[in-house]
Amino acid sequence: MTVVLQTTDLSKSFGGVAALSQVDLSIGEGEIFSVIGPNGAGKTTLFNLITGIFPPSGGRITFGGDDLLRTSRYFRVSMPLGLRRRRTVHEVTRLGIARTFQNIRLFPEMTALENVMVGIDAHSRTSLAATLLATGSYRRELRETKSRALELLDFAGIRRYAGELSKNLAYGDQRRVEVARALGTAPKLLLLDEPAAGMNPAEEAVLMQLIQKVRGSGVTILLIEHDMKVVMGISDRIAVLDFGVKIGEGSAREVQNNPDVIKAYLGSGTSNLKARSSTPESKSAAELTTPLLEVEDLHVNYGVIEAVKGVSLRVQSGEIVALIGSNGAGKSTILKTISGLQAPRRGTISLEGRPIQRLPPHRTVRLGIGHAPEGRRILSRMTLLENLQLAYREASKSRPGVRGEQEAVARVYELFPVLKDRARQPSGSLSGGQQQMLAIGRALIAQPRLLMLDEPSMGLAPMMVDRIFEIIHSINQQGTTILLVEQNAQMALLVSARAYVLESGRIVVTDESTKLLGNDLVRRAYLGEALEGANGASA
Amino acid sequence: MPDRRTKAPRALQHRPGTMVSQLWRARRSTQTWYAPLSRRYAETSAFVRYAASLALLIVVAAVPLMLPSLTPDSLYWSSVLVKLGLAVLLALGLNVVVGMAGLLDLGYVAFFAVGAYSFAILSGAAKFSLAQLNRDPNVLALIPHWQMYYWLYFLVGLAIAVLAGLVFGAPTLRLRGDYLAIVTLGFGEMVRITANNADNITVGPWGITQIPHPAIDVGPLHYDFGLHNEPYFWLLLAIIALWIVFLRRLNRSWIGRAWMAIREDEVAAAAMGVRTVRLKLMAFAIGAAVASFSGVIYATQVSYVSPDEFTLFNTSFGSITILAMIVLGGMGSIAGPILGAALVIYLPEVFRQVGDARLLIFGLALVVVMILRPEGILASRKRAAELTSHEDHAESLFDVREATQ
Repeated sequence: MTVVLQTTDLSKSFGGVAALSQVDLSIGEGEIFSVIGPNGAGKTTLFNLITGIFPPSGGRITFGGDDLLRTSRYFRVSMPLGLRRRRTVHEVTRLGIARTFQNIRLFPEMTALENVMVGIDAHSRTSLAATLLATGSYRRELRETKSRALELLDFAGIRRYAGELSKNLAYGDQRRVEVARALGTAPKLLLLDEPAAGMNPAEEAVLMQLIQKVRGSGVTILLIEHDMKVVMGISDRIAVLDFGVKIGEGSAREVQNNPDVIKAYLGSGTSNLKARSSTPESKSAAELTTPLLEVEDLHVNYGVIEAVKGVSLRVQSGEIVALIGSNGAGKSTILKTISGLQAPRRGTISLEGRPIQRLPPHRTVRLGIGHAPEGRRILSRMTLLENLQLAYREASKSRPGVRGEQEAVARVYELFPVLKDRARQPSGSLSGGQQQMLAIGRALIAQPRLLMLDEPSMGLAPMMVDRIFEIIHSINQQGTTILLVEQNAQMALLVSARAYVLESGRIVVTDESTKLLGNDLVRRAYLGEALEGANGASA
Repeated sequence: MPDRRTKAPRALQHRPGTMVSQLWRARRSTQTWYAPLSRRYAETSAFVRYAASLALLIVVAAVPLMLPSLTPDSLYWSSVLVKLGLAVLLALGLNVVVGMAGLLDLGYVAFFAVGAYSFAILSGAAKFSLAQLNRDPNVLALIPHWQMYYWLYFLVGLAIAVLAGLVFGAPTLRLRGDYLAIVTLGFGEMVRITANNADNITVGPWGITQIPHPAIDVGPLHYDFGLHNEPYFWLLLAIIALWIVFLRRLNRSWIGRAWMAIREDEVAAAAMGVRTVRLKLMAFAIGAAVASFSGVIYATQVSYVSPDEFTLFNTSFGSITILAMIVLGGMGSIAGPILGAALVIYLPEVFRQVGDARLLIFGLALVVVMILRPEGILASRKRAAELTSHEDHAESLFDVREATQ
């Protein structure tokens, strides 16, 4: 088998976080090769390195024997960023690597046909002068480009939408336009980044057929996908990434039975944290009063994508409640909707009986909702202390009884002693774990009544994950109610009293966390149905 | 939830409708490319279209001749027509940069100035003006006269402007959105201030006088443009017509598509093989060339240039004014900027009798149009992405990450 794409020791770090470390992949001609891994495992980073969007921190990428990362053409020295001669994005495309994007990046105001034509244009030979003079070759090329684009739309099964603005197309059709557009560049290798995200089962089936068809036409496929049905159904080989490290590779069955893979998806739960039997005394007391947070029949849309489809949940004062489920299940969207960053389509959210679903984020903060968003979202050019001070000013407004600023900052340092020494450091220079601590500290600086943590363990090393969960536990012990979104199901279930399991925008199970720990539904929500045969291997 | 902050696409899915309505919908969406008006027009045969265009051209060309019978003030209105021609050319040039490629250029008047000054200096008018200023006794010998090779200076002025476009563009086009706008704003001012301070070349704030008017002198044919308005108008009309033909070809070609793609999503465009930097430079240079044409004609008509005319807010040719024309008329289309230029030039003239309040009324009229039709009067279906406020976090993140390696 001829190798089409090979990465050797490929590494990339952002700030203090290693997104990808020493990944070796070798993709053979005509294969459908999938890369899977939990959120933050470095999958999209891998694509961005291959296509030249980011320069890697180390390692090599060769494509058909061509080194994609030559540095300077003339000198063997590392040039300043602007002068470096790595292959630029468009050069990589012209060499024969095309891609689609995780969050569909069609040209929205162009028709489906024009979108595909842009891809074909990569090989245009008409000069500016020939265009202005409308020479014969200009006319011929225009005709050929158009008919080729129509052919590709036909191939993708969406020719009837050729004249439709791409923004007006249904989600699944947009994905197919993206594939057709990528095929327009006449690639040898096609990178698909979560093509099935947000698709319904029928659309998924069509997509799988399309991918097979593309492979049949002689294009090698590298696929990132969270939907295990798709991955297990069409991949020849699968590589699994976790924290930027390749932890397994093989056929679908081999990967499903690999204990490291199962651990990566469900979390190890190796911390000192003992499974908490739900605290009955606080619970029974709480049930008498109105819940601190109550969400009723929440629907949230991103355009045509229905991200949350009728979720109801309640959080009692003093509890830790976990929302778990795989990537794309709608967990972060729920948190964002509660804090007012995202408007719901329908449904109510109430904080102690008061409806808050129409409030903007700065108002919910003042009502005592602290949100540490996914990806931390710290203000990286401000110092650590400035981040905390800014958060304090806003969150403490019109809230009598909140401790003073000095005291509040001191309190954060008490929880996270390592932050104190770095108070004057630009927060972008902190390590990933420290940034996460800052994000949590920032969310709880003004003693929120409800602290919402979105993926606090994402992108952190295992030891740091344990540490963060211990802190979450102790914050709760001191009386803060916590709503936790987490991919690391094991950890989340250990630390929380109750949990909701989400799948595709719906709650599939809810129970006390201890009871969910061994629940098969949880595993299914993460690794898909196909895993059922692998039960014996689960930890 | 993975980050799906992309702007919500509207559902189309399975809208009910007869086959005819489906066809109509499909057709309409491809053909609003230029302007809604061109929809039916595009369906007619090529011959009819050419004939119609030619007829339109002749009618427009005849306007200055008809003016005396329309208004007692025909001399004044014919000068407005020339001003309009200059503005239309500028608007159609800036439209390439802002409307098609989506690069918000707030210093566009710089290229207009470069064209005007290049011609003024090349023709010897600057030398004459300097001598006059220095009370040089031989000044009369230096009065520049029109000669045949002055037409060549038109082209040299154009080449200089293209060069200026590349020089300004190369360092700035790596920037995006607001940053690009601020830097181009700076470049625009730099050109004006340089013209103001480089006394020995540009005669500074005194300006260059005695710029020769064009003339045609081929064999038995002699014609001096002089102080008449009509020949300038016809010259402008010819250039505009040619430019519209070019624009339509560009629009339909890979170059136009690449510009649109860059405007819609630069990262995705690059990932589809679009050489983004080269294409953006091309848009800048083409825009500069068109502006310089306008600038040269302006300089030869009024026979005088000074830095004061190339300000940001000049009511006819300021960078902001030209931008207002294309925003008002509808960005990205061809008819839009023409209409926008017409309104921006015409309305203040109509309100002239109100005196100082005319700009106020004009401003109010602009605001009203923008409220009623935010995408411009003759909207192209492509709004300029730079002027709409949809966020793209993924993209800003990309820049930060690159900078914090």
